[in-house]
Amino acid sequence: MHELSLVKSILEEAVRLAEAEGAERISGIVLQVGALRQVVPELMKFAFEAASQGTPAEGASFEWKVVPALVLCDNCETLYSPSSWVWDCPACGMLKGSLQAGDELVLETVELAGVPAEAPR
Amino acid sequence: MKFNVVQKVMKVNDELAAHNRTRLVEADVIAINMMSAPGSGKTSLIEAAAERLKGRLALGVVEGDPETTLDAERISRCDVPVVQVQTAGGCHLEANLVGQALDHLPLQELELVIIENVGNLVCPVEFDLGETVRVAVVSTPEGHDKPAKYPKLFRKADLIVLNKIDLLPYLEFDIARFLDYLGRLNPEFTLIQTSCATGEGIAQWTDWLWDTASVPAIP
Repeated sequence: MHELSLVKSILEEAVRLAEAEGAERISGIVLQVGALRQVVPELMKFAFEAASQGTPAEGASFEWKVVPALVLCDNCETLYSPSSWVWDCPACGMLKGSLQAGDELVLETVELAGVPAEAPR
Repeated sequence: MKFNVVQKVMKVNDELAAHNRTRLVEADVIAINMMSAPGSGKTSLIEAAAERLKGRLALGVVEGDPETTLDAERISRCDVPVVQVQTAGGCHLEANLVGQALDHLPLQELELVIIENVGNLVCPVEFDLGETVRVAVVSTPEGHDKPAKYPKLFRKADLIVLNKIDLLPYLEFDIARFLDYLGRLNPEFTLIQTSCATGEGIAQWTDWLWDTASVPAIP
């Protein structure tokens, strides 16, 4: 259950951005979460709602995109999506590969409301 | 107004881990991140290693637990410098906590630091601490299916220790299936079987530590 500490990092980054842009509040957060990243997005959403109380992010939407796992076979370099906890290459059967995608935990976008219009040049 | 950020959520942890790694390399210290479920025998394995490596290898220990200094007290009785990190309920160690612990170890005098993570098979795997190698410990009462249930830990481990093998006659632990699961996660896995009660396998465990610590620290 490390979701709360992760949410605090997200909140800090979003608040830093909101302050830098002079925004009134943060209205939305979008994450990329890898399928093999051991976090529970639903728990993060719940933790975000709790941790954002009284901050400029209170009431912000919290969404995520799941990034499917992709493994590159060490033997024949086939790129495949593992169907279970075993990474067995569909082309050659090799059990060793390296993860190319699916381990992400990335803050993709922050949506800000009440950003002052850029000063006319 | 939408702002593309595209930044790793654990950027701060990753930066602090990289800083720890640099410090360890500069001090020529190998660091081991030791992970397992609670009660699998991590502390006992460290005690056994400290006993056998006394006078041969300069060992330091970081103990991570949600509460108490019980483990640090055990290790300090082995005449090994030890720092207890209390995570106050936290389920894993993070790089900042390890960095603070390293401040309290005489790094320049050490060759090997064992970081005993909080007992947990999920969360510790997600946090880089700046370690050189990763060790996963599993004990026989936990069952042979642990590698399949917690693949990420076992796939990433440089060494797997199967502890409490003295209990095998009393358990339904199927070692063939355990080995099969490990082989499907990593065909080149390294396994050492130990018992801290009988001393079986402890020589292999300490030899592995010795060999690992003898390799120059390269980031």
